Amino acid sequence: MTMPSMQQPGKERDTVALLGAFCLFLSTIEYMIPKPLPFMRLGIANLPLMIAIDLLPAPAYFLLAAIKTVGQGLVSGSLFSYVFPFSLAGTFASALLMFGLRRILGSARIGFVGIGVIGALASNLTQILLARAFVFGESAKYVAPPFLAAGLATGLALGLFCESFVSRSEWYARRLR
Amino acid sequence: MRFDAASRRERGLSLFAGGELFVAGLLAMPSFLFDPSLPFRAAQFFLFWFFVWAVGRKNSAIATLSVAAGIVAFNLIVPYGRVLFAWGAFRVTEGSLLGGIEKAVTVEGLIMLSKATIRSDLRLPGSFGALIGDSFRYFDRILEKKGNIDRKDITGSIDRLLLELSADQEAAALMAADAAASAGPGADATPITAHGENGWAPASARGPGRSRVGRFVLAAAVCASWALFAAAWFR
Repeated sequence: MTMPSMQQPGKERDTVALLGAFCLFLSTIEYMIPKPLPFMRLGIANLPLMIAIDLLPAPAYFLLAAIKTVGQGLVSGSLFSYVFPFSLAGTFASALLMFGLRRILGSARIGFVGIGVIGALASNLTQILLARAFVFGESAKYVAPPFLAAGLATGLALGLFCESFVSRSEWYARRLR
Repeated sequence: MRFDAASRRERGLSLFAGGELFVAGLLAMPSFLFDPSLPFRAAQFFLFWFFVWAVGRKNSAIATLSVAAGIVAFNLIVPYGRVLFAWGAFRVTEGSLLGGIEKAVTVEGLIMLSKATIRSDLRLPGSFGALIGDSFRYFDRILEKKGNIDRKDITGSIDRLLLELSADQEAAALMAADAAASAGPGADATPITAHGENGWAPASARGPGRSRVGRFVLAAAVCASWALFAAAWFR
């Protein structure tokens, strides 16, 4: 039911820093992908958050989510723009749902594919609601279907990748011990 | 004086400290957000855009225009106000057009301000800042080794990279513990070493990052933004 939260404090901190760096790396890649609106990201930088779901206890996990958001703001220079609150809200909505569902349902009932899809949809839905309030108004409903469809596709792809990674990764197995 | 992007970036790094840029951005932001006039807000946008250019940050005019056009286009879908013209059933209304332009200028202006004043060598205070610093150090290492990520074996190559970085970290921690034991208290960690347009370089490649001229320029830019704000209110 509950996941093992391995790790001594030093190792845990190191895992957060290392996965945070991967978030930054993937954010940089995502930054280079053209998109119709600056806050509408595909969400590939969520991958380390998915990998960390069984590795970290709640405080460290949400610290990683914070590092991802602030780091993205620093790397892309968007800390003062609308992009930052969009990213913050999207990341924390998806982190909360992914982490909560995995802890409540357990790995037997919800795999990484389910986690990935739910996380992506939570993030995109939150961002659409913010876009409706601050940028598009009623027109947000026209943006929502393709944006949610893209989230569904990337969530699925990330979930499959994550499933494959955690089953094969020696680093992950060592960190889980 | 050279004006290519690399020279401007180097000049920006030597003139401005990351923290001072951040404070300047914070001070300028309210003058932009609360500017009641679209033409003056647009003037502030161009001020920020110029600053982005001046510090050598990468900035695509096409991307800026296409994002702005997207925001305006989506605003036009819901018509309100006087009809300016119509294409068949599609009506372009004054209210939705002006509203769209205002939103586009605001979104893009904040992005410009952010690009100009948020630099990745900005040090955040406290233990969270230290943790982000550690992440940036790892990020530097990942960028150094990103060539090792093999497209044919992404999972395996990422795993090897994580193992390598963890091993390096363990070795560095052991060395740091040894050095701290022999040097006594006060030993510090490596600084965050990043700069450029999503590009990163060793600390030695950076300039001192603060100067009187730099502070004067930042103060002048902030004053210019507030002057436009005041002009919009009192015109």
